[in-house]
Amino acid sequence: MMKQSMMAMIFTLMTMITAMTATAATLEEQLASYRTQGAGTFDPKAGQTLWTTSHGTDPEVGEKVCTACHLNDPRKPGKHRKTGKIIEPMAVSVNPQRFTDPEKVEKWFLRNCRQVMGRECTPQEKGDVLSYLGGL
Amino acid sequence: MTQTTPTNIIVWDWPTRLFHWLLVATFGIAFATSGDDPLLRVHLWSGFLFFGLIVFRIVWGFIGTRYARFSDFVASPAHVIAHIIGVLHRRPQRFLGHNPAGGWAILLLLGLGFLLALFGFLVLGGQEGYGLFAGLLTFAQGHQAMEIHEAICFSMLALIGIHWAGVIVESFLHRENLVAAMFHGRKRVENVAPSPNSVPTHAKLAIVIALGALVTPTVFLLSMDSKPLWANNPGLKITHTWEVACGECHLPFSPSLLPSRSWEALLAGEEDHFGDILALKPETKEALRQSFTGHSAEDEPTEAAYQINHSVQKNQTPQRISDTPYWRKKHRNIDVETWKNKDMGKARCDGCHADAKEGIFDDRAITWHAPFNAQSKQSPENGR
Repeated sequence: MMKQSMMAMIFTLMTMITAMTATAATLEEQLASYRTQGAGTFDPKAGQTLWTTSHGTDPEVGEKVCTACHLNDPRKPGKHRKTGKIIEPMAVSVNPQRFTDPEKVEKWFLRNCRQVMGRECTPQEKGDVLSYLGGL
Repeated sequence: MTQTTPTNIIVWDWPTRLFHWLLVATFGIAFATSGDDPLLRVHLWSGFLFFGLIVFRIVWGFIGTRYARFSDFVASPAHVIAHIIGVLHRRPQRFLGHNPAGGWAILLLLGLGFLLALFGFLVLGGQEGYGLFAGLLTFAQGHQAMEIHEAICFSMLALIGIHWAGVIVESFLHRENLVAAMFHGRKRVENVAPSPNSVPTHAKLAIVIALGALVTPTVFLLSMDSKPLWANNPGLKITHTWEVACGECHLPFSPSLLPSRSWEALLAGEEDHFGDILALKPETKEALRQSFTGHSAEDEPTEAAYQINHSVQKNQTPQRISDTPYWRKKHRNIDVETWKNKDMGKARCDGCHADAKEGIFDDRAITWHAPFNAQSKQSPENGR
């Protein structure tokens, strides 16, 4: 009996570890792919700076900054400025679903970088932001 | 003319009298509550009762008491003309029951009433998607049925006018109160041997039929209410691409809420989608185009699709659903504060319409109504 429950526990633990590494691996893969595109080491601090830097104010939309919709604390849910739709937290620690779909990641970096900064983000910038959001 | 002792006999039996005044009441209520929205329910109830009454009266016209029968009051055209000439000479023949002209008015009123209810059922099925003919008619067909429904109603109003004129003229010429007679049922009899005219035994049977005619539609309506169509309706088609591409920022509005030229314009203007850059991939754009092709306001059979499409001028291309005249008309009584409510807002149809995502917009799926006495305010322009 003892042996059986021990086995079950070990099995559960192993499953959990595998699951955790699987998630981590996806974010790692994402970062690795940015490195192959020419990025260097990623800096969560730089990512945070990017996250909170304002790029001026658009007369139609308002202030051009990530936190206008995503909030200063990425562990909290944000809100679409115009439609009011809730945006689930960006921090991987509270929302493990984040950055598990590379296509979705690229789609939103493309849209939001152009929206906020008026240009596409470099692989370095994307990696910095992801390491910031992944390490919270 | 020598007179024997005048006596009073029951001419209008009580089922006929009851029928008459209930028909007046239901017609009046239905007329006062015509149109849709909150009063539609009252309109339907009175309409169903009205239909049941008409069915009863037709049956009663065959098995009722003497003066209630069609055989008593449906006269030949020659008699009708003769009677009208008599009225013009102020010397019409007196009839205990309906006179020849009045008899035809009754027959026409019953016939039109039957058709009125029948077309009402068609409107209900076509425009609101429930009742006997739900799912059998498109909204456009329901709309045509409504025009006929209204035409029949106004024909009936004209006939009622003639009916009143007849009642007044004959009351005056024969010096009797015909309106009162329809309440107590008695009329004066001169030199005619009074024949007993009580409700015969088979009246019971007829009353059962009458009850059935009243109760059946009532039960029918109740059963419809317990299972509104929208609750089981899978709704209009939304593709996966549409749901994801639109639904990540707002309710994935049904393509049926704008004409296809509007969706085309939105695709063309995706670099400035109300201030947002969509940066759509060419294949996503194409998939979105596929999603609205054949499913736009001009294509879908729902009320919202039909009304929005018909409210927009052909040379106009609104890019917001809330810019279409029909939408504005329907939401004109909602004040600014209500729009600011966190669950509402113009991008949040589902804040009030439980079936918004399915694109149905059934009246019964509305969970919040503007108060009746709300001031008619022009909704503020959307800030971009």
